Amino acid sequence: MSELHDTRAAQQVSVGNSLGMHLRVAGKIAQLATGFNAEIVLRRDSISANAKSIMSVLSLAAPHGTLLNIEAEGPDAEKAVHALVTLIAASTDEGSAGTPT
Amino acid sequence: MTTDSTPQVFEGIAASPGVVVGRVYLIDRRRVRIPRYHIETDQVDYETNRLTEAVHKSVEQLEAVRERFVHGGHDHQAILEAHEMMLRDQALLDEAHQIIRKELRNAEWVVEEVISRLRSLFEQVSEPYLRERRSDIDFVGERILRNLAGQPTDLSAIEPSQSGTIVVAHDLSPADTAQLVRHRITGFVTELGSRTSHTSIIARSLGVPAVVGARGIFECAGSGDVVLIDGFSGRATLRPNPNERKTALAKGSAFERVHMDLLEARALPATTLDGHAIKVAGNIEMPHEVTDVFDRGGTGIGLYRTEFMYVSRTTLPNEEEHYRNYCQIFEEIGDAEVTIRTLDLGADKVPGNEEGLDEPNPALGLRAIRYSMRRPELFEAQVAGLLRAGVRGNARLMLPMISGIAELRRAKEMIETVKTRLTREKKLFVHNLPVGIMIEVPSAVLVADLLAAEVDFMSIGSNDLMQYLLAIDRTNNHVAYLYDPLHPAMLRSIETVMQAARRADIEVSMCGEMAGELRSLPILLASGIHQLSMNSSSLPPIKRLVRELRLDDCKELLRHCMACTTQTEVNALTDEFFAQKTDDWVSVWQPG
Repeated sequence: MSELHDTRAAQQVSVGNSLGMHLRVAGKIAQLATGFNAEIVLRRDSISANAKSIMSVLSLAAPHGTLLNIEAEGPDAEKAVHALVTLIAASTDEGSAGTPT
Repeated sequence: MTTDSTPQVFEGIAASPGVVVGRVYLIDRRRVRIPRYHIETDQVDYETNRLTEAVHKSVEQLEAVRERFVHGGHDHQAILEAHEMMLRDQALLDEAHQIIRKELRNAEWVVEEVISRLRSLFEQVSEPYLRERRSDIDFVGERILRNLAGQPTDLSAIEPSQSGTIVVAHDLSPADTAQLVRHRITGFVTELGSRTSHTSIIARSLGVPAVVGARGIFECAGSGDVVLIDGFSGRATLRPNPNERKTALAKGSAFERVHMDLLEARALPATTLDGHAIKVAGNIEMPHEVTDVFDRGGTGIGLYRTEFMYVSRTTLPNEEEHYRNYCQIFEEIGDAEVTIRTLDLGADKVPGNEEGLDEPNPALGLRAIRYSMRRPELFEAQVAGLLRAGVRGNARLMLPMISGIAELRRAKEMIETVKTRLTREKKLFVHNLPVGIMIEVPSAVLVADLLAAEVDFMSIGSNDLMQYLLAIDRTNNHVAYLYDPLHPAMLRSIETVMQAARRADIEVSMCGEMAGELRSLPILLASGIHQLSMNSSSLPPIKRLVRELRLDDCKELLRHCMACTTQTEVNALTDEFFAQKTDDWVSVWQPG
């Protein structure tokens, strides 16, 4: 019998946004992560962040190309990791008109 | 006259162009006073409730600002929403509550500590854009603190003055600016900030002049004072005298007219009066800048610097990352040509560099192609990514800092090695990717004929070539006066390269600053250079000047200039040429 609550998943991803994980990106990550039941942690070297907290995600201060480990634990861990990998690896965030020139 | 009426000048950063005179409206957003005291155990609940309440209030205030500001642009809305999310962040509130409970400290004290810890994480980031985001954390923290203190948080009482209101502040939060745009604000001056801070972004989108980073102005300005801001030079003047006002305003409106004309005409072709066409392209550092280039009339990317993929990280980008990055560029650029330069960094800037590399003179040291050869795995990952992505777009590969034929051949061998591997791995890649070189080392000029025979194109990097040719560091004030792209040595170098290219029947670009300078344009046109690649803001003026010149006139100018013995003579001839052959707008756009 599969014990749903015990699912773990992990994957590495490189930050795709050319400006790094800035405010709006962090906001989207927290929003997305909050929709899952799993506990989700983002790790950058020795620093780890709670993916459901925008402040915590922001505090990773991760520029473009940073390698992050996404680790999730919970019934929908795999789904959560997959969704976050897609979001973090994405190169653009729509409506990024406020980019520096 | 009292000293009070003497003009006072504050130098800052030109954040948004334009010139305007108005009355100062001071906005005091300096830090609130933060009381610190210990509490008794029975006060813990009161204190945590107080904090929760202040956070709720803050969220409500931001919501109200955002709702009143629905037409303020998607970007600004998104920033305000993100600030709301930061406030609603349960992890943050939980942490603060826990500290209050455990250490028995008052709410203000704890908020201050949590905020300053978060902000310190950002201080260490090297990207200016990310580092600037620490101000978001400050703004959110300050709002909570003001609500705890029961102090007003919002700007409701601005009275638009008849002569135009210029907001002078220490710093402005996105919520501040959102509220300000509803009033008739004609300019912004702040003590803090950079070109990427919210005030700058908003000012540019509103089209009002702004100067940021003008340190000291807040202490010296009083509400109602007359202030002149020059968003071109990044200067704010308190109590300007009539002459200064007149000159600055005239400059501003003349510039504005030229700017509008230029933008209107940006899509017209870059063809001279006598029918000679030249390609104009943009230099970019990041993929998203492609839009700027096209918006300003560029027809391709003449230099895509790939360095951003390497800096501020601990690992090297792998082949897949390169592949994705170049695919992204092709997606944005369609069929247009993009010239991608391989890594052009010094050894000290590349992640994972071996220890103990101490170079006394990095400009003449292990950098660019030299470094790529020292670490072939790094170069090959980039080349492989580009070769594979190349099937999706119109790319050229450009090698930086080539000094001679042996180096070129070695680099081409390495490219062949990559192709062999990709074939073996049965990966799809472009077999005939054009390979070219930067001409930026004097030795490459001297052997340009040899190099031209073995490359598909050449691109003159005028900045480095000038620097190496005349042995001057342009950032060194003692020798900067020698820096002049119209130096006879530079003109001869260009001529040598063009001759070599003609014989080999290949194209030549220029991608240094010289390519975007109006002053150099007649000579470059006359030289027969095929493409000029520049920062996007230079595209509209360069295109317009091309359309107003005759190639024959330019050739005559070049002929005379080549006979000159000093750059003073070349400059005198150029001045004369511009006085006779060009319109007034040129001197408005590029004074002096």
